[in-house]
Amino acid sequence: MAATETRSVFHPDVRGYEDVNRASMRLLTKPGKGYLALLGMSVGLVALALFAFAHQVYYGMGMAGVTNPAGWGTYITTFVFWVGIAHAGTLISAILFLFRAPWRQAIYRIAEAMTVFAVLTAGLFPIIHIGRPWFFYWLLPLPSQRGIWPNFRSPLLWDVFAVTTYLTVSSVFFYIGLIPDIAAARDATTIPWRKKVYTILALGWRGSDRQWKHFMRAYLFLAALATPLVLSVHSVVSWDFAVSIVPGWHTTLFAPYFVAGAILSGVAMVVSIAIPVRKIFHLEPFITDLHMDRLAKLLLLVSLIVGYAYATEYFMAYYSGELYERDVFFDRVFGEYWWAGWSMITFNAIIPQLLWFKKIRMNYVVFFIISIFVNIGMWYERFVIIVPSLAHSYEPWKFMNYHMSWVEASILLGSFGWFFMWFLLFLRFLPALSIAEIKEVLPPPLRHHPREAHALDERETVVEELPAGYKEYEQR
Amino acid sequence: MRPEPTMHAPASGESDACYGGRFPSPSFRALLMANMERRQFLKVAGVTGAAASSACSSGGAERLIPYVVPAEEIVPGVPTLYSSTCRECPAGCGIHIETHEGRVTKVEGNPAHPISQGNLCARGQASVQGLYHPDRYQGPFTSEPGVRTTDVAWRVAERLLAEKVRELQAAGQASGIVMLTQNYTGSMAALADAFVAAAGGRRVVYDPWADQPRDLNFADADLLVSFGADFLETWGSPVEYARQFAQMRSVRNGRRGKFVWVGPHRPLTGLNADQWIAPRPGTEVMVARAISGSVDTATAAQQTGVAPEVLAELARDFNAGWGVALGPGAATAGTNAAELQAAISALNGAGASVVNATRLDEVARLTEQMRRGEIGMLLVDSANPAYTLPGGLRFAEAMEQVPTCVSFSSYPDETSLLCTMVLPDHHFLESWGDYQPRPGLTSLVQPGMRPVFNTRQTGDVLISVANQLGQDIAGGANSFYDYLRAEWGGRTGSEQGWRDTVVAGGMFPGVALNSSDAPALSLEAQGVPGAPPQAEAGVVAASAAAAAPVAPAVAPAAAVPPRFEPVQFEGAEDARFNLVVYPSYRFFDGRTANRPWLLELPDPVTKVSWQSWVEMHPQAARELELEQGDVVEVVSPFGRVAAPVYLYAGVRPDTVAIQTGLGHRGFGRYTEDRGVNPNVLLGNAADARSGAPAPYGVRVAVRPTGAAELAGPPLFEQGVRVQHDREIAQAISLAQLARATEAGNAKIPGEDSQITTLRGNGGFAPITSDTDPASYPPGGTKYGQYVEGTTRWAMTVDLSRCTGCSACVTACYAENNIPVVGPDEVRKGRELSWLRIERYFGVEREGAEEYRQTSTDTDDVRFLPMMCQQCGNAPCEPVCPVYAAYHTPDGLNAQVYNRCVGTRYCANNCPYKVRYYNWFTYDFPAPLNWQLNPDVTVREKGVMEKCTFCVQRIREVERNSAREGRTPRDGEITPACVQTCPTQVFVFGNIADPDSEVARAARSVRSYRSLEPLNTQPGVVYLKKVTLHEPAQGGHHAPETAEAEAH
Repeated sequence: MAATETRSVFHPDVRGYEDVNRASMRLLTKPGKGYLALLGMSVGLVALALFAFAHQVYYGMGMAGVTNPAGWGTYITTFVFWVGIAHAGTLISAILFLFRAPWRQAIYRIAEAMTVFAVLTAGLFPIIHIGRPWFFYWLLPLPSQRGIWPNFRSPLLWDVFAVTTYLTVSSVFFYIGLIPDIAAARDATTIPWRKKVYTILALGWRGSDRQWKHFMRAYLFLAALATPLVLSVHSVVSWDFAVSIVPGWHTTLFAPYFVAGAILSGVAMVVSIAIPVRKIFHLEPFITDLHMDRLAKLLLLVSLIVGYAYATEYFMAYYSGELYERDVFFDRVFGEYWWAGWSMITFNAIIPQLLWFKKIRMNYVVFFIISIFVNIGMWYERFVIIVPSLAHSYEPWKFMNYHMSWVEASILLGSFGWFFMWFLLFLRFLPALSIAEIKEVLPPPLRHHPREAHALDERETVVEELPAGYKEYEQR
Repeated sequence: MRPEPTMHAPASGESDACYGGRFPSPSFRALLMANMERRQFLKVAGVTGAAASSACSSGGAERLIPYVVPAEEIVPGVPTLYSSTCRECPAGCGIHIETHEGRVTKVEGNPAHPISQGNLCARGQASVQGLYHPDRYQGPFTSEPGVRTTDVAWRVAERLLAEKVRELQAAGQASGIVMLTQNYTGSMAALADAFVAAAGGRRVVYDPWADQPRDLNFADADLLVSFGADFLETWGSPVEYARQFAQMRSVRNGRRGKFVWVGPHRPLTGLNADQWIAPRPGTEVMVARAISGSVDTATAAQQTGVAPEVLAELARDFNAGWGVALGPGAATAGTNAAELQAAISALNGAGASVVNATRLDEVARLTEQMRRGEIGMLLVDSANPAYTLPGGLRFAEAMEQVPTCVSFSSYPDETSLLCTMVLPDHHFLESWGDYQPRPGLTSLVQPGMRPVFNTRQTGDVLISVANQLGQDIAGGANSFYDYLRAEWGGRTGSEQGWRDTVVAGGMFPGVALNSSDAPALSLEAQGVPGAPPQAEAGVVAASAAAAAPVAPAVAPAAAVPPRFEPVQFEGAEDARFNLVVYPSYRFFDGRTANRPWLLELPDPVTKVSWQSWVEMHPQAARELELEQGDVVEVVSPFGRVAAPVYLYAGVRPDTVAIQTGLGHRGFGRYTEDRGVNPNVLLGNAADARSGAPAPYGVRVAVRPTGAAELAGPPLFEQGVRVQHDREIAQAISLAQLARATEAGNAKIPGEDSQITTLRGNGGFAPITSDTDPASYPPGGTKYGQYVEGTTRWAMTVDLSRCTGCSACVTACYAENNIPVVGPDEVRKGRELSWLRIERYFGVEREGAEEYRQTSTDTDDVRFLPMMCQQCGNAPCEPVCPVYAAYHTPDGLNAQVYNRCVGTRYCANNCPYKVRYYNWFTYDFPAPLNWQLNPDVTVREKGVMEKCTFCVQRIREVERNSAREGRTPRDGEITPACVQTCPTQVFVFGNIADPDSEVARAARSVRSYRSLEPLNTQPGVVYLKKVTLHEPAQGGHHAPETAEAEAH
């Protein structure tokens, strides 16, 4: 039963191994104009951010809008946002792998790439947001002539470890999973320099039984290693706030709340990426409606959890009777930043409820828009947690608002540029579909026509109709 | 008070405080100091030193001591103090000029001086920025206004001036030589009079806020009534009067003095009042007469619009105890000021000694003569008439008719910009002189260093010019110093006597004049910051002569009906507001408006910095449909200004108030085109009897304008007006205090649960090694071991004594090299004021104020100095990833600037928001950088900084006492804020020592700690403000109401 089900996750027209090879390798060929335009835009945004950052380093942190009392603003918001994005990747690739979820194969590579690049993006922000970024290495426990060890009681230091650990583990996991596919690319490519690079990266993969056995073992272990990180990294990030005494931050709810939020934003980002990618690169036969449906349901579930966390937060603020806590939460929805507070609640907890309806789940335009809303809402969630709490904490004399400066806006945009630059490069240079794993669940090439083999379990195929792009793909 | 200051009396006409030689030119010197490498510096210093010695031997006036011959008294790193007198206002506070290696770095009160007694106001603290102002005139020059300037040598300039005088004398127009000056006293007055006499002209004095008594003593009064006299800010002698005021209001035997403010608006002094009475404008004199009984209460009530029972109560209180009346001040100086003054003198039973030096009618006559071309030469010294004179006089226009205008101003102010010759005077910190603030007290002015620029003391110029005219005005003296020395010779006797006098800062035979000053204070004794708080001690301060209650005298025989005739406003029917133009605490009459510290310092009342505003009652604003910050045009028959509206319940609804000080054309980069000058709205009305200016007599129209750009950037008020139920600043009524004292330190059920005994008189156990993280935290709980008995530096802050004047804030800037960030950054909340004064209004809620003509809710205005609380359990410390924030063994939250990477987490986690961040690397444009305290690091961008109780002073005393094999004595360490506070709000010391002054103060029933429930264990203990009535806020609020009230 299980075997037949796994077989049915792809479109029936994916007949055999060479379809997979073709679809996967096609992505690695010469890019079109649209791709180059997107890449150019991303690089342009990165350049803008670099300019803004140089400006900030030269003149000082005052170029950003942060102030006293709101010492953190866009940078930390964006940091938490990207760390959150990173989470869905690991969730989809590692946890679903361990649970043997049948629908992960098509999207896990994209999700994993997203994880690595999101952590890569997030990791920049702690450096960007400190006043003297040239001394960033003082946060690392490096034995040096300074004779000063970092303060292990500081959550910021935990952050350093959490993020670097996560970056290391997710990169290794990503890379290990790629090895058989890189080998396939090595064998397929005709471009000499690519061949050289792929040869090095493939680590001499020949596809022998021994290699497969070791590979599967390593992959399993890494998946097991990465799984706790999904929970731990964002818990640690949440302690950046929870360990402080700032009203609105100091709460035990934060670790699960942040993890749920991270998964919500991560799944939303996967959706936001998968929908255009499957369309543009004609991957509908691989990333099927079934996959999207499952993603939508996951999104819906996490959105409910997040909504529950919001409700808990407000209830606790009310129920505690604590003046400062109440003021902060009152301020979040009726104060200066009411628009951010309501955006967060609406976008994250209310709008995703539309996904209860199958029609909406299957309408990719609407689904895409919902996922974008959730992405924006999740950015606002972090903003709402960070800024209004600081702007309205204990000392009334220093109630003061924060306004984003052009430098922060540029770096925020640049972070998206940075992320998508890597992602676009990834699409062109590494197999975005996991060739090996997809083949694993395809029926092996048999002597009789695969169509017939497939017809045996037609009842299991849940594809309603052929997606629009599929025909074109077929005609090529 | 710094430990063991070396006191110096220079032996010659110039200060000994110059080392390193004389530099060829100011700009070269600035370059040298700003950008030179050490090696290059030594080279140049050697050369110029040699040159200097030869200059010395060639008989120049300067005596130079190059470094190659070190002066034995000078120890690099040990500050040298010079006694002098502050000349920023007429009060004449005695000061110590602190110099480091020949540079003035700070000005502090002279503890032995009867007026300052070791304290200073914000203006005095900022005087050093006047010395180093980068836009000072760098040398003499001649100019044709607006055309060109020519730098000239002093020799040439003096010859030119002498020639002009001779020309006028030859033409028989010597009477057209007029010298317009401030109200000099002492030697300079005599010299200037001798000069104008020699030239054949006359001298006119214009110093409008100088004609006030400086010899009052109300320290032990029961009732103080001020008729518009802002004695905490500018009136009379602010530092001395603030000290007396704090003493008067401190609780003695369960009672304390009451202060009633009578006037149309409440400046800082009025805001400190227990009761505000706002009679109908111009009828203040009737209140005074009602008190003395020369007018019956009903009549007075009818004329003043004040309820009869209020007047009756005031009269009863005044006559029952010892009442003192003060006035008139700027807010009540109308055309009947002389009558008010007479009535006040009558109330006090004796005339306060005021010589009316400024006669506006004299100035008006001069202006008229100038306009008619009868004045051939106008010399202006220490005055800025083109700015300060009423707009009705049109003085600046009249100046154009004067062929030769000579300014002795050191700054490019309005007057000097219109002058044809500018002969810049020394700053008073570079000058010799003397000043007599009140009869029987003469202070000496001594330079603290060599002149920064190529300036020359005006006294020297006058003597030199007179010599060239063939006149000897100085009794044979060739320099002002010699003249001064000769003048004082008779009094000081021998050379040693003179030296002693200079060291002391003057002659104070008049100490007995001021009974509260009775024990002459030695340097040692002043190490103790002020007297112990008297609230619990129950000590009635011994007071000698003045303590006897003065029977109210009978009012002047002829009870003249009070006159108040507002200027007829022409051409507009909407002139419905009486205008109050009042001197600024920060800028006085505008003369200190170019000091960046004072510009950045928020006004104590409105908490607005860097700009001007129009104070208007919310009710009046509602009628005109104005909101806070809306720009209005204030129009009088004489001029118009445009400024944003500041909604303030402390002003009558039929009155608007504007502070003087800003609105300069010129006056340096910080001040130019900033704010408005309200003097242009005033007419030339003068009191008919005394000739004193009568600024309070103009009616103005207030017209909304849509044009915000007229008044520059939008109005920005720092902080909030209400506490949002946070109980940061708490109060206790006299009755509650009595009950609490009875009950001891126990909590009083249902009354005030905030009074607790002070827990945690201790600090963390010593950290054995600063660098070994393994030893941190040292055992015990995860927060470290909280141990009693070790040193813990702590401070008590008595809110009952705090008047909100903010002198401590400026002292903190001066001591700790705190940069000025400018208006745009202040708007973003990025000021770096380590110590700030929070001002909370009580029942006056934003936007909801209803006008009450007599209000008793003034007692609910609270001022709270907020600095780092030096928490024992500090939230800032554990969150720093690099140990930049750490705890010292003696209980300080230290900040290692060099270790900070700037995550700002500590500031986020600080509930008091007292950690400040260097958003940029701030500029100290030369020579302002000369002021920097060499004991304190100058911070760069990206670094967090904060108050550490002036840790450099703590360590200095600790080292010095360790050398003597002892521990620091209680009171030996004085942070800058403690030192300068005129009202002794702060007590600093080791709270772990139960016998220390600070521990005693902290054991008060009034003590509490800010945000106590957070368990931060602060080292700053506040003492609740004592109000006469039950405080309207400060008790526990039910949580249900908190939200509704906070929003």
